[in-house]
Amino acid sequence: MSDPSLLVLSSLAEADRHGYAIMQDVEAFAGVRLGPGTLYGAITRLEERGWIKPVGPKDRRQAYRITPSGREHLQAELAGLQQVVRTGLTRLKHA
Amino acid sequence: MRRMARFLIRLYPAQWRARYGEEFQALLEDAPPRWSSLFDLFGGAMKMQLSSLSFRRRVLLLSAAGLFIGFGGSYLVTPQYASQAAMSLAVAHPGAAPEGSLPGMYMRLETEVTSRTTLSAIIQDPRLDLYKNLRRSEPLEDVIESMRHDIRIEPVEHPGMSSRDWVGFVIRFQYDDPHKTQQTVQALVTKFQEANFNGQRTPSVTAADNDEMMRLEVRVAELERKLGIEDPANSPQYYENLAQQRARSGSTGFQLNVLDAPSLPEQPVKPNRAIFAASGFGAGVTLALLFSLIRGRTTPVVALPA
Repeated sequence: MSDPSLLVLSSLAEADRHGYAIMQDVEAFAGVRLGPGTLYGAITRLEERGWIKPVGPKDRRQAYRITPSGREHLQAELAGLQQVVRTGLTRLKHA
Repeated sequence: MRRMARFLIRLYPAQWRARYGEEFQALLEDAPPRWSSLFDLFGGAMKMQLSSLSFRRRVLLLSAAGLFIGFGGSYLVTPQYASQAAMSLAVAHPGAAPEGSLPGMYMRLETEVTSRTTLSAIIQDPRLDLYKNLRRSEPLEDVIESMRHDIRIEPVEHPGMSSRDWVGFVIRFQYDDPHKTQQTVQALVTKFQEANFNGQRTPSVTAADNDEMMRLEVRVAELERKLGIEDPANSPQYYENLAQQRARSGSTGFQLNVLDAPSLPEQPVKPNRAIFAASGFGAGVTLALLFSLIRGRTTPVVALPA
């Protein structure tokens, strides 16, 4: 899984985070270091689609929160991925 | 590197910077940029710029960029020059019957001039020293094959001349040095004259004999060069004079004449900059369409509050 949008949503599914905290969290759980351009490209897209929103006081280190529609989208995407993973593992076992 | 990162942030659309600029700066303070981050920033800025444009502007921008890149890229291609000469082969005395047919003689001369021995001698002639770089990396056989691709020998028609008595043809060669291109065509013209002269001198000569004779002639030319002796056969008139002497002596055969001397190319024939620019333009339009398809929209994406 290396889609930056899914990685950001997965990070925010746990807690509200600002840009640098998302970057560190993603590196910790997925082993992927998101570049600043990639990270903010994903944040821009997710905010436009209403899947995340800024929370807390307007700050230089702005925190973001996943919205209910963002959770639904993440759920659907991860279910699709889970199906692929399950199928792949089953086939590997029988190969 | 921070200064470079700050500069790259300025490449993002102003509207985007007004919304995210502060926090983006803060992120770069927390995570000091690396070289890979700079590329990432540049890529992000370009994507954001494209996203912020309307479909029409995106197509215009990318096609214009493609056009300029294509045109500029054409300057990275080594220019190729072409020189050409025209010759004719005719029956020396139309009334008399020469040995063999005219088309047959033409084919024989062409085969001989483009033979391995002849081309190898031209390539390795110290005055020409052709395909120097290619010869370092590829075997001579492949270099000869490359030269065959760069040579065009094509018959031409002349109104009022019967193909039974007259064959006209053009010798064209393409190379990256205009003077060597012209000199090579001259060498090919000379080889045609030599082959015509030698073929009539010894009609029963075999291809192997010809190869051996040519090898010896190359050797003699090399020795003459070392000794500083001017080879009379290098003169374009040499074989013409011999042929005229033969015609005067009443012998039958074929007369080979140079109609147009090898030209000195002034302008390169390749690369075709218009084709490069048009390809860049086409690639730009395709990229804009693909980008819009992938983004799933043709309206501006960055529609943020100012």
